[in-house]
Amino acid sequence: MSARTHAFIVCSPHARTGVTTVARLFADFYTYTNQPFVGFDTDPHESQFAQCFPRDVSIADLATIQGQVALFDNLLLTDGVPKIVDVWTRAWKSFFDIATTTEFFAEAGRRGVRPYLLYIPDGSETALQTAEDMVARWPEIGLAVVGNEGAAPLGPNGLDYLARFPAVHTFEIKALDPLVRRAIEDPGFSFSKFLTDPSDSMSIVVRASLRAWLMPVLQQFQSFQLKLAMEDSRYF
Amino acid sequence: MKPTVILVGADKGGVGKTTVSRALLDYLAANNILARAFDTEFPRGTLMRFHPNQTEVVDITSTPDQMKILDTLETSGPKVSVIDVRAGQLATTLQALQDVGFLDAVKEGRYNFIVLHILGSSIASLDEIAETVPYVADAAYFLVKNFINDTTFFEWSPQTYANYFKKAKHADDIVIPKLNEMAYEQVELAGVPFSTFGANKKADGSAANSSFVLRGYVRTWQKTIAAEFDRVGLPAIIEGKPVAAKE
Repeated sequence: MSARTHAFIVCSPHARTGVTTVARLFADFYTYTNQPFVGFDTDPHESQFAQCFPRDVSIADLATIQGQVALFDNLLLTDGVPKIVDVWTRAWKSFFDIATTTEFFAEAGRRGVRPYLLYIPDGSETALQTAEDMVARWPEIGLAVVGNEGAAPLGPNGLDYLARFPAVHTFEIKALDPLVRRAIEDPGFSFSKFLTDPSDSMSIVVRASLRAWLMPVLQQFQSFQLKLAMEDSRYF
Repeated sequence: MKPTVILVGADKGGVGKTTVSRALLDYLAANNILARAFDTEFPRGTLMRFHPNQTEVVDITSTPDQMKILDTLETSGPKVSVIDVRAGQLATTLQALQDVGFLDAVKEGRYNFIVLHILGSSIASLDEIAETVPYVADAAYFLVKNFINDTTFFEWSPQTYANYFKKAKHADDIVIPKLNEMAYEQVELAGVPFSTFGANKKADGSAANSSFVLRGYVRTWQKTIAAEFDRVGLPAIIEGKPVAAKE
């Protein structure tokens, strides 16, 4: 059996938890490490994820059957290329409704596609309950929980809260100083480009802050990738 | 098991009779119930296109073809015969079945008779019920609301419907949900049974390359229909077992 293809579904049941930022960071990790990926942006109105990666990310409007086919059929391709999906808050229900209707997760398991949810909770018990329900309902998925301090602060007991999730991996993304955040809000900004070729026009303070924020995130992604590689080694 | 005749019909065209017949044949196959089908859209049958191995195109108004169906009920391998009645022929077909004594034989208990009456949204469909009822006293009579064509049944008031509905003593409702248009279209283009499309196969049994999403919609749609057929006890009726009275 060949190695599995990974499908990373970046999502949150609540709005304004930083789903697109996490999707961007994850995609930029692949770009920075010269690994191919294919992305999908489910927000047809403000497709920020697609704007950041115009070559690699396409828009899949789940309100249309064409968008559904474009997303789910491609997620099932066992081509070894990781897929990253930015599930917009308003597409959350559609995404999981379609997954239910089509029995997507079971089919993914059969085909050798391993779906991971990069799940961003907002600190509520309902977010925890939703995650537990999903893992119980779809044992084929791997849950990776993301504490996104900047967009969805979890408070002083955030780590304890994250530890309660039935997750295979936990990410912590620290809050970014608002001044520095402005720099990354431009869709033309690329984390990977910043690391390899930072703009001279950017303040040295901003650069230092951004690098200090970004590197631990990328290290966590690398650690996660190694973990997946070890898990998948038994499929070779 | 005594032979069963399932009539799928309506006097109005375009209400999805053949779609229901196709779904029914898939359901019977999934329940290991051998069935043969007759397509009365003579000379060119739509049902034949999707289920060629078990379908024969017949002219229900011709005596030789009536014999082909009814005289072989006992002797044919499959004990279930599905007749997809062409538009406008439901009353004629029922009259023909009465004329040849089939309805009397049903009354005597020699055959099971199931009528799936596909309803349209217009008030004319309600009048059809009144016309059909006299023929189905000994049949399991189902009024099928077919939403496959996005029918809204907007013209019906519940009271009017209930009034017509009670005229049929053994009637029950079956609801056929809407199938996503693109999924429906792709099955049409593939020209295979819904179950074959759902299994990602071609007519010859080889692997197809149909969209996973569209196949998912078809499978879910079929499951919903199967739940409806289960709910009304279709297999039990075919096997001649008593069916729980509807609530």
